[in-house]
Amino acid sequence: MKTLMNTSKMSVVLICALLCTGCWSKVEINERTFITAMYVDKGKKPGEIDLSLSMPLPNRLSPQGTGGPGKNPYALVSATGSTIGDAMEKIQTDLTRKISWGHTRVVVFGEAYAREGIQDTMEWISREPLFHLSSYIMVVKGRARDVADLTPVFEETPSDVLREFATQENMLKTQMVSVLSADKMNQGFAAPLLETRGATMTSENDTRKRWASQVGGALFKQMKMVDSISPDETRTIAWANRKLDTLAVSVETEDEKASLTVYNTSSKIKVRLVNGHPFFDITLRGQAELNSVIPILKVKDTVSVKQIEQKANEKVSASLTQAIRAGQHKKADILMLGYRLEWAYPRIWEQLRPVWNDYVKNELKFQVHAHINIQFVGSESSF
Amino acid sequence: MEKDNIYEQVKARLLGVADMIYQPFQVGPFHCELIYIQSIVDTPTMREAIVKPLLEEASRNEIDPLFITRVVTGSFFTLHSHHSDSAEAIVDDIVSGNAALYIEGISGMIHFALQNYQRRSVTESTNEVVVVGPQEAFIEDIHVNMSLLRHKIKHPDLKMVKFTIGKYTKTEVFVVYIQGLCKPDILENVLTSLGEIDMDSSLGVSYLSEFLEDHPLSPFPQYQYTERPDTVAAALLEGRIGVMQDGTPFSLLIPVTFFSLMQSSEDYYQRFHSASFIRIIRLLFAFIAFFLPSFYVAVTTFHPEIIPTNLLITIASARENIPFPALIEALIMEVTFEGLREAGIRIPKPLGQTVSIIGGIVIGQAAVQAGIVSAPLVIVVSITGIAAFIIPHFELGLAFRLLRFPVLFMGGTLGLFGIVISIYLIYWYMVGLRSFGVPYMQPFAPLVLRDIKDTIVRVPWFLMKKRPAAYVDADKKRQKT
Repeated sequence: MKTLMNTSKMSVVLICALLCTGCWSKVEINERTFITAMYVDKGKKPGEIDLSLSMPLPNRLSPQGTGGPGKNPYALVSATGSTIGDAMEKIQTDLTRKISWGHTRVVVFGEAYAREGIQDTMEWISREPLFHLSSYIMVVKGRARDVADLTPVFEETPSDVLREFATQENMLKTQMVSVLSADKMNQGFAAPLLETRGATMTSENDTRKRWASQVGGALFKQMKMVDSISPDETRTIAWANRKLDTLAVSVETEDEKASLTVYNTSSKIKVRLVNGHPFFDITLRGQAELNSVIPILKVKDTVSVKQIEQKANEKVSASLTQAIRAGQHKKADILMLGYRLEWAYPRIWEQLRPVWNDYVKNELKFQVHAHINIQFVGSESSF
Repeated sequence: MEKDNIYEQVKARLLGVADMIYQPFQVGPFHCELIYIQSIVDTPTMREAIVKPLLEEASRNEIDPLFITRVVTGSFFTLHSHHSDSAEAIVDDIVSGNAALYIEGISGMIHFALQNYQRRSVTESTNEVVVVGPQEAFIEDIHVNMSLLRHKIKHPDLKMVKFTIGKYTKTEVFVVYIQGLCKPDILENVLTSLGEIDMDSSLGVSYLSEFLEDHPLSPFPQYQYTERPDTVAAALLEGRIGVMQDGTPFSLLIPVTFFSLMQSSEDYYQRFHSASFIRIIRLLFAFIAFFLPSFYVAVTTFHPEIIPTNLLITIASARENIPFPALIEALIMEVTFEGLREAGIRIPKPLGQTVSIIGGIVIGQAAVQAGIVSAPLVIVVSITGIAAFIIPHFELGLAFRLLRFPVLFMGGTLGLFGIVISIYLIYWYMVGLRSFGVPYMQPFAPLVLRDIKDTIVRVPWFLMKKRPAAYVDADKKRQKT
């Protein structure tokens, strides 16, 4: 009898728990459309947003699908509205499937929109529960929509191309989470900058199609794009953020012209106090293999190897210093050095926090150290 | 004739039994009659050991004056015999394969245990196949089974208690155990339960198992079937109790725990690395058998964001033209699979091939091509189907297969939340379940640290110095080395 009572009590509790869930929201997989990339541009009228969403079309990807060859397996839908929400609703109204944000991996901003501030979009994204915080942010010179038209040669859809740009770690990758945390900490960040251009492509039967490339970085401060930096500088920023896979460096010493590939990149940012003021030591470490040397270098010639290493170090440090200076100039703390300061010296950070932007511009002191270690000199002929 | 009263009663009881043989002959002054059923009596032995001595006695000039006494006391025949006065007992013995000798002048009859039922020879185990290790399996004859078991354990502490169950079948049931190893209260419990059973028949040991269980309504088996003498021997040596029944090649082992049902005798014959690996695989697949279809349905209908994008698009494109919701689709496939499986077992052997071909084509190809079910779901259902068969004990596999359906409903209506609730409920139930007083999830709940050595993994033999605490009574030590 007692167990019966317990069981019935338990079932009442369980039924209540079941009814309290919001899980009745069952949507079949073929009643959804999965947004893979989102493109935000400035609208024609001031204050308007031009929103484009790209989504795969599974029915055209399926092996027994009805879509014949020649049709793109992806779609792009655009709408204009005064807010993201308005534009979204316009898009949803015309769609036969429910929009699902769970697979949006890339958010692309047009340069004009980015310069005005991406605050609205970021706010909307951070309130959308399904949006992955690991999505990537990119900026395009010109209109973001144009990137959506790029020709996916190796991938299925343009959004795959953009995603792979980030995951390959060839240049820079900036995730939603670091953008949001940078904003909360009143610091800056750098996002990859893309450019589209027309190109004649062999794979597309020599027709002229649109091609996208990574051309550097966009510096942000308080959710506004303030400046752009060159590819070399962007790569060193990625290196300092430990998000760089490999890096090719070409240097000229007095005797040789050499190019090397840096791998196993790592970095360390340390802050110490010098006369009561924070001083940042940014150390870039990496191993390298020598790809080419002219004239031919002998392994025994350690002095030359050292020289090449040193030149490479100088070049890399200079790039990073320049990138940070560019940010400094616009009051943007793109490496989030303030975060390091908070970690190491919370009291000093508390004092500097209100004036951090000005501090970055006028007083920030740092030193970049690069340690590239050539591990392989490659094979060479003995004569 | 007063003397022939019992004889007449016996004849009256056996009236209408057409295969009865009444073989009269004369030994000196005594009229004798041998009563038996030819098909179940060992006739050559009977001729050699009963008829021949009697005829030799008859051919003497003078009958031994002590002849009657010697026959009644059993010292005349070289065969074990006994004398009975009760007509009931005599008839019962005759129909169970004894030969009864009636000699005029003796009250009652002399019986000879000459049963010779038809039986097949000992064959290889087909349901619990091992690669390395003993191959023989039990057969239907209890005496052969006993011989197989006694071959493994040669110790006077191996005890057997005999029951006769079934008003019509009079089936011999033996409870076997090792005195000093098994827990006396469990033994007492089993003996009492068996003593109370009053049935018409017991044609398989499963008839008894449902009477013995503490929770007969539970989907989880609280006993274990085995057809392997080595498994029975190992179980007895762990302190468990076996119930063997005549006429069935399976014997029952009690008590069990969940983990003992997840073990195969193969585990102990193979090297411990591979045995441990296989056990982990088995647990993994048990989990898959439970949850894979419901997980698939829950994830695709409620939480597509947790599927990697590329996989999601593959699934979405396969599901594009499917008319049914994922839950219905999964149910159709699961039920079809269960039907096919059952058909595969019941179908007459010559037709078996047909069913598997038709089933394979229908499920694997035509249904997908027709756009009725999606290919990923076919994969899910096939993996689940295979997974349920990896569980070494068929009864436990059945439990898993049955419970899959409620979990599927929960997953299909409440998403992962429903699955979590199902896991919780099932685990809750399993932890509370007891098999003959032994907690089902021992050694994990309650936690017995030293027994975990033989659950998820199997440690080498030299580390298994003690018997599992779940079953054993006094003598915990298994080995010194």
